[in-house]
Amino acid sequence: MSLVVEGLSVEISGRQIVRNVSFQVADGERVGLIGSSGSGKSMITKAILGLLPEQATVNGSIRLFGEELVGIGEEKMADLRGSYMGAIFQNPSDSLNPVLTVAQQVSLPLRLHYRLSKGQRQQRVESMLDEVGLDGHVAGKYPSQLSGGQQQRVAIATALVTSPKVIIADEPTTALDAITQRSIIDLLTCLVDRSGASLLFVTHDFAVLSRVCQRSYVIDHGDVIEGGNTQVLLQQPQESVTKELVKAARTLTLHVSNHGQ
Amino acid sequence: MWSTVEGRFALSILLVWVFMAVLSLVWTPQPLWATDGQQVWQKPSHNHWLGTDGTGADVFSWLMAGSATNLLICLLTVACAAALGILLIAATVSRSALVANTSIVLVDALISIPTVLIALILAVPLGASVVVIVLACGLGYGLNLARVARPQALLAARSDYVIAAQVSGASAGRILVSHILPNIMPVVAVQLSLSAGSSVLAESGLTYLGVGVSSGVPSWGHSLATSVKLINVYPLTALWPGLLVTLVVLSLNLFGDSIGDAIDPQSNSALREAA
Repeated sequence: MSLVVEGLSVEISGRQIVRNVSFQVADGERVGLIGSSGSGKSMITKAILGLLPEQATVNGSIRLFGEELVGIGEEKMADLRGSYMGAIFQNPSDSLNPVLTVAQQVSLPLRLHYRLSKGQRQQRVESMLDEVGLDGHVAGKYPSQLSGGQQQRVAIATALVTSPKVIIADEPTTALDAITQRSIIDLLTCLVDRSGASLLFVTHDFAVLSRVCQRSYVIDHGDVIEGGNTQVLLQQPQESVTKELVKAARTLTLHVSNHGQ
Repeated sequence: MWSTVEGRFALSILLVWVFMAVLSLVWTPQPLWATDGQQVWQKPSHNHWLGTDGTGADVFSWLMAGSATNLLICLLTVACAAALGILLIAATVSRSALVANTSIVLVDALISIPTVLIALILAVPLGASVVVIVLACGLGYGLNLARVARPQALLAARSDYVIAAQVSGASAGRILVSHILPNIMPVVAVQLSLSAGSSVLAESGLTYLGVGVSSGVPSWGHSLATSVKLINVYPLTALWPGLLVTLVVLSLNLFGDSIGDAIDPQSNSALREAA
């Protein structure tokens, strides 16, 4: 198993944000976490990445390839991040440093985790940019000179440049238009499958989830209320929250279809 | 920076200042201590380009020699202010709430102490010297830098790109140097250039009060302090150092604005085009 979360609870300033959450991500598997805004799904990813605020209390277990992450020191966590784990965030324009060029951003994990010559780094960056469908000339540009879709491709390249074993994508398409959303999703799934990595995909949109993940968990008020095969969840939702999420996805799709006619 | 009129003006004046300061170490038009009781309050002439003061010494030579002292004070003050300011910014954006909150309270409390008061306190054990000006101004301007840059530093520290850098495995030190400081550099550059200008003004003021540059060391403040008492007798000797201080302070402020624009890829279209 790439990632095993057992009985995870997160409390911040006396408020329970995540309650006894358990799920697993197998090697090479694409697993989704879905829930409405404020359900606690992003807090789960922060707990996995060790990015919770100082005042947060974490209980339970998070194991990455058998190594316990809860209570691990910051230095050791920094070694795991970027090399074993990569992450893609919701808003690419915010997650890219505005004063660094694309090449500088993509090469950062390489500089931190591998002893490569400048030429080798440059070669790897160019090859990674090519993999995400960006021209080499983009390497010298600043994020403000790129479109939203291009920015998210750069973020994907940064997350995948060290070939991490687990990739966490926290609503990576929410800030993008529908066409770009689709191309980014296809690109991400293709690259993840090609690299053999596992993917934990966080979203509030069942339509996106059904395209990406084989298995999914529904989160509500910090708790896993339902889980299983994504297609089964979509067709036979059991819990009222899941039904609402499925209904919302279907209504939006239907609306688009009717509008098209 | 050279592309704007303000940038060209500021850079030209500052280059002349540095050139004069360096040149004064090996040459001045007249020897500094060559005074002549028969030649006091002379108008500008071939021998004395800006005239002479009440002791008959050459005003231009003294201003030229003073430029080296002022440049030294300016550079040391900026270095002290930058070191203290960046240290406090690092504490402010620390992940430890205790360190961050302590630094914020400390800055807010100490910033209320005027620079002049700090200089007066320091002058008691140290006496009137360049060190007093550098320490007093460095402390005051460093606190000011930390206070002014704080909101931007906190915004940068809580931004997604810093989280993304953390996810890449960057350490706290690397995040400060490579991600937070470059993003607040326009504010820091402008603030430090203002500090540089203020240090020139402070040198004049503190020397006039008797806690700045010690007597006998050439400086613009010293030239102003000695001539301003006799401004009614001969206004020109007070005019030259006053004009020089004004010009340099203005240039440092314009330099700060220009450098702030020049290093910010979001505001500098030329930088973006070059990329």
